Amino acid sequence: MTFKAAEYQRYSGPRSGIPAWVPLAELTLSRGWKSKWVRRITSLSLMQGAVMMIIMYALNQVVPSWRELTQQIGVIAGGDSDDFVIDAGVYLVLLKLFVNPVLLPLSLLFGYDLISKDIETNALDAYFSRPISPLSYILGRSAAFVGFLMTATFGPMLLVWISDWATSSDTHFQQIAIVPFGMFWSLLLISVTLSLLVQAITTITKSGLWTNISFVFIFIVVSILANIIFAITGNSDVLALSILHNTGVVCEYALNEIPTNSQLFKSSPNVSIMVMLTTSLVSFLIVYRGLKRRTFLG
Amino acid sequence: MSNNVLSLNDLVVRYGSYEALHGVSVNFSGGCLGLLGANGAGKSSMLRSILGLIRPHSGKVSIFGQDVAKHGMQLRARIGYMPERDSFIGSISGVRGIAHLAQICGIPADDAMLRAHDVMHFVGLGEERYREVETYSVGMRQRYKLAAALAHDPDILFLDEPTNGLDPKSRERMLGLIERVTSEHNIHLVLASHLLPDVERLCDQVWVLDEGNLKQSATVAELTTAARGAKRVRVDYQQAQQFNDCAQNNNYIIIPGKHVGEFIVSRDEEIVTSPMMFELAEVAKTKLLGVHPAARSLEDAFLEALES
Repeated sequence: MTFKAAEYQRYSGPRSGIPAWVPLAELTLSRGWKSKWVRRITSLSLMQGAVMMIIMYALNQVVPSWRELTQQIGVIAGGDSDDFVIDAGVYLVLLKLFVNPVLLPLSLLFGYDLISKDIETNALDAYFSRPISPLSYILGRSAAFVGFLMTATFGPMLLVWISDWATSSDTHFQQIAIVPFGMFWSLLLISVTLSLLVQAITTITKSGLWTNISFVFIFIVVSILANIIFAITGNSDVLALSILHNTGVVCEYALNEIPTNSQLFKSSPNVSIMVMLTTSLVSFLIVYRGLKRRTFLG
Repeated sequence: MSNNVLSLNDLVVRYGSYEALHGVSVNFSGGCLGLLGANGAGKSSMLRSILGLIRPHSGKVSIFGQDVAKHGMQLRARIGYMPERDSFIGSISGVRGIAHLAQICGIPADDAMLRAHDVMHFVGLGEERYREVETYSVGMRQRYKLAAALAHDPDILFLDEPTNGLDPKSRERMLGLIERVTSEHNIHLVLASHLLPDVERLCDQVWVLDEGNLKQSATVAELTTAARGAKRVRVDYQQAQQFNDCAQNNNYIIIPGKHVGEFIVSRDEEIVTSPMMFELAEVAKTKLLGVHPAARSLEDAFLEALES
């Protein structure tokens, strides 16, 4: 094939068998990465993980028994020795540190105009006159979205965990063995829910600005509403209406660190997980229905 | 398997209670087809139902002998569609967007990018290919849509009003591009337009649609030469009635033309010649101002089809 051909030429090369959602996922990733704030937050998140890894390595080189030392300092400070053990509890703090300041803003910045932009520019006609089905479209968009969120959050946390595990004794491994799997599934559930929710909102509002406003409304106003209903009814499961509350509960449940303090009102983990799964399902159906109106094939 | 490139069988399209297409059955055997009709005649509905973008209420659409409802996904890789409205991937460069769409049709990534560059050059957007499509002018966007429809090398092109909003120079350029692609590369064309000169120039077959009904399906040659053997005659307007009466008395079929004193004169199973007209004028004692072969334009045929 010649470059800069002024004449039209028929294509004689092979056709690839790559599913149509793969190029869509690639494009979604590159489009998301174009956002300055997405790059900043992701870089900061990855740097945070890398810095923690370096600190842990350096500590291990300088003070090999720093974990025991931490416990002793804790006891001297008047605490219980269990409070200062580097175990899943520490990773829970870390997990929440990645979920709230990284995962939530990233999901909004990455996805606020994913579908609304395609509606605005009528790109959906271009897609659905080609061999891509609404399901493949959602798969392509969501795979990139979830993959990106996971890389920006689970990636650095896994780095920290690996460096912790690699520089510790076998007995320490027992304390943190649950962490990778727990972190993975909790972050996956939160990422899938957020990505589908953002896409559903953008499908309904058909506008990036209104997606942002609606997302913030859902997070803040519904959280306040959930607390008001809880104050009236006294049923802590009502708190599961708040996605923000659910992310916390899911993280605690995933790392088996559910607080025993009865003063901390939390919804039941099962209810929270159920609400998140339902949110995902309803969001998926909204997106699917919106796309299915534009093509009956696939 | 049928040899027809496109087949519609009792196709009905409804939007709620409104029926946009009323059971259209017609075949297209290949080449260049013009879908003619006024605004709202059902051209876009027909195109969109053929492409599987809207579900027909009933009926069947086949492309290359394959049912669109069953094999739509495979067929779409062989179809190039240029919608009437703007349609592009936002926030990325023109060439990246076209390469992406070609990839979706199964062209490997490297080849897709090469083809995207090629088609952008072909439509004359070589210099603008790295710009985002949002910044393109109307004419550039029309050419971009054509490039996007061509990037994956389709076997059939569906173009919905490709010259909409174009100035005469850009229109000529667009028609030239379409003409080159279809005539030199054996790509079938279905062109929906309400601009008759565009259809007359590019198409060899025409479907005339009116209020969701197929009024006529014929070749352009058939439509424009239907009046072969007739003469367009002009006489002094004050003697028009006199000439009309005399022609009828002499077994001529006479149809009034667009202007007073103008007539289309024909005779059953006989070619009307100029000497016959001079003779008739002499008998009618009228002054003959002009005699020309009465070739119909596509516009005449189109209006006639609508009136029928």
